[in-house]
Amino acid sequence: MPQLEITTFPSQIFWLVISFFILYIILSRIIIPKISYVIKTRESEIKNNIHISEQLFRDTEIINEELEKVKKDTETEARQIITSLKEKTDKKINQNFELLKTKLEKKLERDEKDIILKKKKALKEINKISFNLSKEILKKVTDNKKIKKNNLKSIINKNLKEINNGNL
Amino acid sequence: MADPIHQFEIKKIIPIEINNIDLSFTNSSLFMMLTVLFISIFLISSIKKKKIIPTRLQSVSEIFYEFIANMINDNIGNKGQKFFPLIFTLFTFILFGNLLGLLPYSFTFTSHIIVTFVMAMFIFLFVTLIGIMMHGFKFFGLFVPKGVPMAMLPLMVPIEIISYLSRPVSLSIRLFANMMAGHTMLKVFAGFIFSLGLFGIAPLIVDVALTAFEVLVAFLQAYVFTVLTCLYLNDAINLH
Repeated sequence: MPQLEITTFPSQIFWLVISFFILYIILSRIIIPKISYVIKTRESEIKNNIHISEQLFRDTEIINEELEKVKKDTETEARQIITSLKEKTDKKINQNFELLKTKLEKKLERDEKDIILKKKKALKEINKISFNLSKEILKKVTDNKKIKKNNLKSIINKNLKEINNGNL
Repeated sequence: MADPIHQFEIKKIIPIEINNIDLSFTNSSLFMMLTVLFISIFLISSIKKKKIIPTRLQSVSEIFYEFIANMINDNIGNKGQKFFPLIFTLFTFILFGNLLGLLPYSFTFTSHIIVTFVMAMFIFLFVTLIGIMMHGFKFFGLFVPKGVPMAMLPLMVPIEIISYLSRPVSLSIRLFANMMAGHTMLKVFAGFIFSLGLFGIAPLIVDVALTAFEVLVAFLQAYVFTVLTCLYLNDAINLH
């Protein structure tokens, strides 16, 4: 069995120690730092990315809140504008209404005065007409008897006054 | 039929003799050096670009790294991380020594008891030294098992000491025997292939299967060797 040939032992031990030592130096000085560097940078990169994403998430939440606020503000503003416009229009409508009312009232007053005037005129004319009419009737009925103008007038006036007082 | 033991023979390549001690560069030395070279080239070339998103080769070396880092973390804890380079060297050296030895016409230096014994002895002495350096005289409390009645101690302490002393032996023989047995078996079945003629297909199939099995054994034995090293280190660092 070649494993038990003691003469080969020193050489094997010698070269084992050398090769193991060389490998140890290469691994511990060159390779392991590189691998651990890569793994550490990756970890920190991942942590960094997570941190950034968390930050972004928070930022979006803040932006969302602001958006909500702006939304509410605009809503209230719009409502205010609507109510103020409503008030304004109401006012204007009222004003116009009042204006129209006064105008109409004035017109009504004027018309009423007109009517009263015309009524007086008409009454006067009624006086005249009834006087003439009654004169004609008397002429025909009495056959040229003298008629006192003033008497007739006063009678008619009396009657008319009575009519006016009674009927109006 | 070729001698199945023949493959383990040490052949001198460059004869060197210092003070009447034969330190020749042999096929064993050659494969140790090749293993070192292979590991260095493989790991250095894979990690050269230091990419955050690793290439396939880079992932392989990272997997090796994390495999050992986890092994140390699980078995020793945080205190063991300073031994990381040693454990990593041990694991890669044995693993690639085993795997390179599986190539046809190559030599498996881990199939020699002296190589495995020197490694195991080194670990044994290293662990003992670490234990004494960290805990002083208390380290010998390792030989006094907890919860054992005083009357039993005269029996238990010698048993514990013997089991402690037998660690390098079991550690070295396990690796050496596994590698030697596997390679011998491969060779024996390979010898049948030609002597059986047409029926040689059967041992060929067995040999193919055995080769796959030996790859597993190569990994497993490297793993077992390093895990046991971690456990021994754990005993020394974290006294029970």
